[in-house]
Amino acid sequence: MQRKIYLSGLVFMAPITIIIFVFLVYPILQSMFYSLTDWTGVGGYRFIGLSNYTDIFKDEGFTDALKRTLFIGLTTAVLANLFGLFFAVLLDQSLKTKNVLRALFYIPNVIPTVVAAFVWRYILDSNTGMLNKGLVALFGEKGSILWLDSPDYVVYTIIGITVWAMWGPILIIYLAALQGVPHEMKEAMMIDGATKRQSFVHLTLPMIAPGITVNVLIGLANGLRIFDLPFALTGGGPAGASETLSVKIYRYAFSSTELSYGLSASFILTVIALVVTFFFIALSRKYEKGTIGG
Amino acid sequence: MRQKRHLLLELGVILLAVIVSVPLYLVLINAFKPHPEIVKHPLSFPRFEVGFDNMVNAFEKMDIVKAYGTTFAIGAVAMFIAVGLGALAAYAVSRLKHPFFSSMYWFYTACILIPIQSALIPLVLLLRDLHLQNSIFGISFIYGAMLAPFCIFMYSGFMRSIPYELEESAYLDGCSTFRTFFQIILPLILPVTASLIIVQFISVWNDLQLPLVLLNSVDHPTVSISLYKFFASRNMSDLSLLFGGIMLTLLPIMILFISFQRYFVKGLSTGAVKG
Amino acid sequence: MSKVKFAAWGTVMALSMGLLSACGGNDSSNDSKASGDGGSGETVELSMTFGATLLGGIQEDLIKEFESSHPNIKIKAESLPDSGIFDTLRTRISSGDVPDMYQINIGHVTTTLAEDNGYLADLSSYESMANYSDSIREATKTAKGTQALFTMGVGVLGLAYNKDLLADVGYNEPPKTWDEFMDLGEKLKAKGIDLFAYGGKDETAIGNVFHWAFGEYAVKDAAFKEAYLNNKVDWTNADYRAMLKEGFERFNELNAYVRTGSFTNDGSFAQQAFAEGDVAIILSGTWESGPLHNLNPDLNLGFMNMPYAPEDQNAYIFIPEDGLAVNAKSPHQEEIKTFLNWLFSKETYAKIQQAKGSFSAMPGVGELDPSYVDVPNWLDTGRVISFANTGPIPSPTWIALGNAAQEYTFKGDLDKVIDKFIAAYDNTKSS
Repeated sequence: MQRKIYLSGLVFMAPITIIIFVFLVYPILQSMFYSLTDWTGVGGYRFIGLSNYTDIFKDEGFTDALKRTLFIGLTTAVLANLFGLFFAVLLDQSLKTKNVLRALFYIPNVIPTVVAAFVWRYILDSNTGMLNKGLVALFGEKGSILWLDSPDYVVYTIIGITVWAMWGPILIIYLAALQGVPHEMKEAMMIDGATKRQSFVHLTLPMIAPGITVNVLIGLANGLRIFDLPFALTGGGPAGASETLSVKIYRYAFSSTELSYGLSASFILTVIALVVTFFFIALSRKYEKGTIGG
Repeated sequence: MRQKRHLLLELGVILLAVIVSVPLYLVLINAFKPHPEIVKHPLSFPRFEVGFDNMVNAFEKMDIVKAYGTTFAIGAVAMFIAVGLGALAAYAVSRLKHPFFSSMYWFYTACILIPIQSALIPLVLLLRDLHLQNSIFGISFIYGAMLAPFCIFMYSGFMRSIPYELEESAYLDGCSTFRTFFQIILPLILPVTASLIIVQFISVWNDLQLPLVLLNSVDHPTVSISLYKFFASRNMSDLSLLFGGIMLTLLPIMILFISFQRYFVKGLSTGAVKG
Repeated sequence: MSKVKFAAWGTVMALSMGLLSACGGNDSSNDSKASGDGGSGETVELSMTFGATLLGGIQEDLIKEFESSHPNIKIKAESLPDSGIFDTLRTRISSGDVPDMYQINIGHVTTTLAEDNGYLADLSSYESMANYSDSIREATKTAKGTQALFTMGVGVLGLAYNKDLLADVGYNEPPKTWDEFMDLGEKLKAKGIDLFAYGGKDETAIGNVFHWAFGEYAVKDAAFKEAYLNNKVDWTNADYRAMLKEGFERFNELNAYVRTGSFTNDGSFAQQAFAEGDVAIILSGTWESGPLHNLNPDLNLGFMNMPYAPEDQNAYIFIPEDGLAVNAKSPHQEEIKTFLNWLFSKETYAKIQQAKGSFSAMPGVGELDPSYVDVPNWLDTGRVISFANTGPIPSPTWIALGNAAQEYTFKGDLDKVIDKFIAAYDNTKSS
């Protein structure tokens, strides 16, 4: 009987696993292979070993993009989770407008990135944007801030807009997780004299730990790989200050004959994404196990 | 004192919601204004003198009906694969206690992070070899493969919290694994399914990169491609048309989202997040 | 429970509808693939992929006209945004799905890829090719001698300027030296008008002054010209480095008068600002007068060369405009010939010229926009440099150059940013 169940388990898994292997894993493995050659995407190739990789680490443009992508990825994940959790807690306290608010916070996620880039440009443009026009009206010329045109600020603007777009699902998941915390236990703790903060840290947080794991995963997976927003909003500028790794990879793959160079960059990005994410998940799993005893 | 603090918090949250919604507000109000008015008074409430003209014009110029059909078809097939087949796999990896299955769980989780964009050129070649280039099925399979890992992850989390007794009693009654899945488990996971479908469908609807690279925009225009082409040919010279076009792309998914909103939290709260 | 059931049934039905239409969609795409086999006197369908502005926006009318006089040839035209056209083509080359006719730019990497993989047909036997001037025909040949494309026009890079704004501050003639250019900037700044804007998000605009920096040097030094055009410059040469340095410094000087946002904006923003009189000059070319007039019909439009060097040493940057190439592997060579000979006959070409407002590449055809009145004289000097602005330096490296120059304007370590560019150049150098 056991064997029969296992067999059907395999049958259940088979279709999707085949599809994942053929359409996801295999192309990635091919990319990895081609990153060790000088393939231009069409025609023949020669095997060149690790020279793409040694070149790429000498390229300051690449290492800058790498650091920048890590910064953006981690910051968006952390901020989106902090905001998401904070507002989920607030919304959980049975506010009257809860449903409407929930929808409003989620809608940014529903807007296609091209549209979001257009609308945010409309708002944030240094000369014609509504925000600066308003600031100049209030504070004079000095009020005008270069949201998108200063290499120092543009990264933060991108992070801000990404958090704005990413927030919705994270908030919803936290809300759902919070609803799973039984009221009786909270009340019991209160009766025992715990403060709200203690109750949160020692009761709520551990109980929503799986939700934290999912959300960190979402945040990192999206944050490390952002492409559409920097590409559509600023083209990677100014002075390359918003060029993430994905943008760079795209340019190498499509706008030059150095496809294999781009593929080695994407392999590095994948490895980093895997490492960072597994690190966080392992951490949060440990936290889960440590507090509720597995 | 409690009341006051509560009120303050509520106001703060509402204020934030307003700020967050500014972009949507802009799209909504400007879709109903003529171009000169958009330029002069971007924030003002429309006087509805053009009514739905902007959207109608955009409708005619964008060939949106074909795009709706194409995108919907792609989404449907992708959902079948990612959500449907994913649920089956999730059942296997989350319920069966063999180390093989638990290691497959980690495999699927790792797949969530694979950036498919890095493999676009090999993907193009793969589709060609399978005679699936420039076809709805081809691109849907790729979306299915991309989105399935996350679905499996979510489903597994949920399925773990289903008590084993349900299945044990089914087996005792002589049900095969298949029947157990379809008759017992499936009804329980419908709310999660609804949530996953909404989230993943929206990401397929909005995606631009894959259709741009993998489909011929005349044979199979998707909504995002139609909008992209529309944008590029108008520039900034006719904002009213542009906003009209944006509304056309947003409307279907907004409707979808608002009508299924309540299933969302319900679906997720029934244990999807219980690890 | 009924709500959930309803949702479940709804989903099942939606999925089935989706699957059915997906099957239907697949069949139709298979049909169009099979058009390759229909060469026996039945209707032939030619596929054509190009950027939205290539044919001046009148492609639908042209196609209708052609199809009515040639009932057995149908044209399936796919028009994509200009910024995405080459990415799409590149993918099609990789997948082998190359359209019968497609847009190329002579210096772009896709042209090389197409040629190396046998997709670039030689067009010298086409009748209409004779309509072009000799120099254009030469300029539209690849390094290997293939007559590659039917170009849309003579593309000369330059600066479109607002004659009225310049006259208001005393410049009835455009500035002829760099110092005059800077002086103009000062005067305009005093009136609250930006001197210059460009669409930095568009890769080709990002390196503005460097076209002229390299061009002026190439006029003087034939060895550099050859190295540059073959993408093999050795930047350790002290003279070359000094020239590069000067380019960076000029970029920085110009930046004082450049409209904020030029680093990250789309070209259309620069055009809009120019049309509205907020900016006096934009980086442009002889292909743009049509769109600019459309944006603002009252604009008193002029066109000048960037006064990088004194007039007698300055280079003129010439790029044959993008045009249409033919897929050498298409089975419909005869029908393609019929179509393209018609499209580039003098009559039809004149219509396209009128719609686009660019500089005609066919002598005697089309009218020159008044703002381009000086350009033919430029082309007669010996100082015309033919670079495509999409090559020979490949795009990511050109972007690295732009980024380095922009970085200099923000932080200021000249040698460091120059080294950054050189490192990027060496990475994509031809070996």
